[in-house]
Amino acid sequence: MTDVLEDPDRETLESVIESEATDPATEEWTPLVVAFLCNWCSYEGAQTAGGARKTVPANVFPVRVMCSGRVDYDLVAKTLTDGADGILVLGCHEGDCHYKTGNYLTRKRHALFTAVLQGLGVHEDRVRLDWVSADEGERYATVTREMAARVRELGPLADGNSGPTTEVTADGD
Amino acid sequence: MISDLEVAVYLCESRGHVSDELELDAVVETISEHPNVTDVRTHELLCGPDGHDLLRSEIRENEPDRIVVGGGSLKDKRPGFETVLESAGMNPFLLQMVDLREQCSWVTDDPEATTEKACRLLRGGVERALHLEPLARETVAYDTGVLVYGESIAAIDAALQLAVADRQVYLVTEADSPGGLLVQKEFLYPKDQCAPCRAAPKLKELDQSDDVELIAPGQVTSVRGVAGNFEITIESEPRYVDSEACIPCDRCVDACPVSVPDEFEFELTDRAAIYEPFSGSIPGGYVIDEENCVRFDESPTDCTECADACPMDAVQYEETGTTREVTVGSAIVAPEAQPYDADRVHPTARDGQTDVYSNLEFERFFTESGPTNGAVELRDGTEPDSVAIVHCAGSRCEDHLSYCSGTCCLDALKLSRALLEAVPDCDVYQVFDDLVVPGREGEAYAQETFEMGATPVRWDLDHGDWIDLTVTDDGVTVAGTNRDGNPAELEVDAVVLAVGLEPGVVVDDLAETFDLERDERGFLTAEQPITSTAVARDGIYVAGPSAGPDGEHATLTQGISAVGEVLSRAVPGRDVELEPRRAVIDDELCTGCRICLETCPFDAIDRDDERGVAQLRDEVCQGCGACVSACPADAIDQRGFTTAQLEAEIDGVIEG
Repeated sequence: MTDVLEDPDRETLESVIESEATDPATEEWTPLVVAFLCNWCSYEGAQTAGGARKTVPANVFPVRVMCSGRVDYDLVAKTLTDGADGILVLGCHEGDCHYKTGNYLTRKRHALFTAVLQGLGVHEDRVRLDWVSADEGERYATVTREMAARVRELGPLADGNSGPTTEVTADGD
Repeated sequence: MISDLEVAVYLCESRGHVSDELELDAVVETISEHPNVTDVRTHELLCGPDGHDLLRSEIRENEPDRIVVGGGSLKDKRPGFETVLESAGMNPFLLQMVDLREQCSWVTDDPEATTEKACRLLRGGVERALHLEPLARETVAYDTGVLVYGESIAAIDAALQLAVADRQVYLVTEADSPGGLLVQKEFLYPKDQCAPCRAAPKLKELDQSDDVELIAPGQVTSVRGVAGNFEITIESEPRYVDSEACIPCDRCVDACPVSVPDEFEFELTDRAAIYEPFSGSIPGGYVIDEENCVRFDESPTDCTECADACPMDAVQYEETGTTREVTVGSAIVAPEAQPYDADRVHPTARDGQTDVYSNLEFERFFTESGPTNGAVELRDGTEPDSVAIVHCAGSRCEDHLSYCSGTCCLDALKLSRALLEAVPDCDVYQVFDDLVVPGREGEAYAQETFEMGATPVRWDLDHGDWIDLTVTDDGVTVAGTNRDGNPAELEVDAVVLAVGLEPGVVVDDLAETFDLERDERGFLTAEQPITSTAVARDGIYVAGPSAGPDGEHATLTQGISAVGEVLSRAVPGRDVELEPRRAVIDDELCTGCRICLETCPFDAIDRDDERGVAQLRDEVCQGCGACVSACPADAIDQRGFTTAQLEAEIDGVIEG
């Protein structure tokens, strides 16, 4: 993830945060959430939600990967930079990973990335890691609804302050 | 050039499930505006035969570079569409599917929002499709060889059955010979048949089989790879005696200066440091016990007594262990269980002087080659006048085994019968609370035992410590609580404790090496134990008493069951498909840092030390992509889920 954040030629999370942005008070604004879904549990959970006709926010967009361990947080950073306001990373419950340990890798990477976000002054709630199993359609619907609502509260990412941070790390002040 | 690629988009109306929930015309119009999209078609049910026919003929006619299909249940429908592409002469991996039903029309209430979501998802699909590359379906042979681990009858019979099917079998046992508890028994429930007479021919057949290679004693130290292609490292330990040359004549045994308790006879007798593990053990011949031989023990001497005495020059002190790697397609792990240690149940009474035995120990008295040459003789050399056989010793209680092993009641009854036959005047008491005698013959077997003269003594297991044993001058007092809640006692010459089974100690290492799950009691468990012996790691099966305590028959059945699963999977000539969406490593970018080696959950990456780069083992990679996101040099990508594809999909969704 460091190369994205440090590459001087690229638009970075920092530059996005500092850019001029839509004012949610005056313009219609719909947040956009990208949800990375692992093929075996969470994508199936989303299918189950569909089969059961649960309501999933229209602004949450699934992107299927084989394993949450494939989710490169470099790509997460880029997705935020490119215009998403929030990211969901959903994998199999701990102990259930189809590839044994992929979700544990994701958990570690997520913790590191959260620290990076805090350092940048981006609210950590913009990137949420959670577990949804294949039969948890209701849970998928709930998690996506919570995420859409939370991102709406936080406002657009490119709003100059990126929403209030709840925790400030040593290097984040 | 990506800009030259022509994308054909097919939208399935899903008989109204998609088309009634959004503005289909608007979706068609929007996606048609994409510069690469040359054709957008809608169909009422694209996954049906008509839809497939339409797709096939259009691909043949228009020869698009990429196909995007929007519709419902795409993971289920994809194989059908892939077949259509293939039949139309197009690589099936050039197909991108977008779920417009479960992920869109069924979960979004507002038609306008549904339409916008569908457009964004399709745009993401088209952008991703532009970065798709043709992938190959490659195969490697599914190795039909099998590694079988364990001494148990499950392992023995599995190896034999596989040999009948001409499979190459490597049988690895921790012990000096396969056989396990079966060869320590004298009789088998329910017909009280001679156990060695059943075991010996099986062992001989194993020993003589050209298909079975026995590595005993040995251990498996690593299992790499996947079903069809496991690379298994086996370390064999030295026996110090050439089993081909040994005749076995006993001269070395007579010459050996060492005398140690014989664990095969439950230490009821002694043996030398060079010995035959048991009569009929395989491979034939003797073995030197390193721990107790004066050449190898803590203060080594240059004793050569056994070698000097051997007329065949079979003793080889210089023999060392060997390490080798074998390739097999499957593995059956069937280690023996171990009887629960009777010393832990009644330590005071188990002083080695008093006549308190475990059931397996007592059974040795009925063996002609046993410690008493087949006579039931107590420690003072006399026949017993009275014996109490206590069920549930160390079972179904918090301090010892929490469970019922399901086999000790039958063993206890079996000993009553043997004892009444050998010493007809002996008073034999069966002390139990519940009698666990399942199956079609169990109840009749128990009744018959009581009719033969065994006295049922039914006490209350839930009361206190179940049984107290007190050593007296005349023998042992067995005390408990009867069914009326009153104290009860038996004065007997000898007590037999029928103990349960617990997993063998080796199970700890096996679980680690083979990636096996264990239950809370330590037993190996199959993933779906009711229906299969397969574990979560594909190609590996568990059987035998360390996968759940049981009697010989059930144990054997489990072994055969595992063989059935292996044989129906590992068919000669049948190949295993490589994961098409596997990782690909760019040698130019790889710095050889080894991070991916540590990350891969399947040990699918090696490091080529000469070239200093990581190297994928194609047949092992499962296509999870964890290494892609771990690589600090961006040297790894995942076919079918490349970073470029994912970025394009996300860009398409965001830009709408």
